[in-house]
Amino acid sequence: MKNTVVIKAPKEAAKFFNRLLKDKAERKEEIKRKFNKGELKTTS
Amino acid sequence: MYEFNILEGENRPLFFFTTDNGYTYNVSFNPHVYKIEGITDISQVDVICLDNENPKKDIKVGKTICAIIEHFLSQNKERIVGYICDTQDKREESRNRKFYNWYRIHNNGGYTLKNYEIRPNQTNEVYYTAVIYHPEAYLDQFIDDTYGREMKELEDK
Repeated sequence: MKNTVVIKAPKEAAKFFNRLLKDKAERKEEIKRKFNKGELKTTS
Repeated sequence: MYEFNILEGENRPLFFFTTDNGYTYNVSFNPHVYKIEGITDISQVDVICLDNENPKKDIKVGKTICAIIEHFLSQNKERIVGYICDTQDKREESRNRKFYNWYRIHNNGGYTLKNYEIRPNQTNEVYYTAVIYHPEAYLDQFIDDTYGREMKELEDK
């Protein structure tokens, strides 16, 4: 793919990204839960 | 492209749209976890299909997601959007290709997308990420250097 940069990171980067991905999964679950309960009001 | 709506009552921008197949998608922008020197406004984008883990292929979905990202970016020229591919089912590489192709095909030409593969030492992990920004606000080299420096500094945290 064009515009791809490979970054060799310290091993601590794995912990950092795993935390970001955990937070992301939790946000997704929260939105799904709120959406299914009708708690999110939308406007155009 | 599908018409999208903005969700109210949350402390972050939430967008949603419904497809011809009846699936509802949510696109949200979440502040980055800590400050990065030289960048004042950075958010992580999440995309969720709320009804189905494996929705049918639909070309208008990618087009709509790109339009939402560009709409969000257009509110502040210095704004940056980051994307991290989920890894839990080991399909992160295909997600990366999908996101890249969505953007390559549907972008409006106003922003730069760069992909970064993060490879932590002493592990076999690869994290696929992308950054989208306005080319008049940031030089490519600045983004490369800043991302590289942030990764290196993780060693000290």
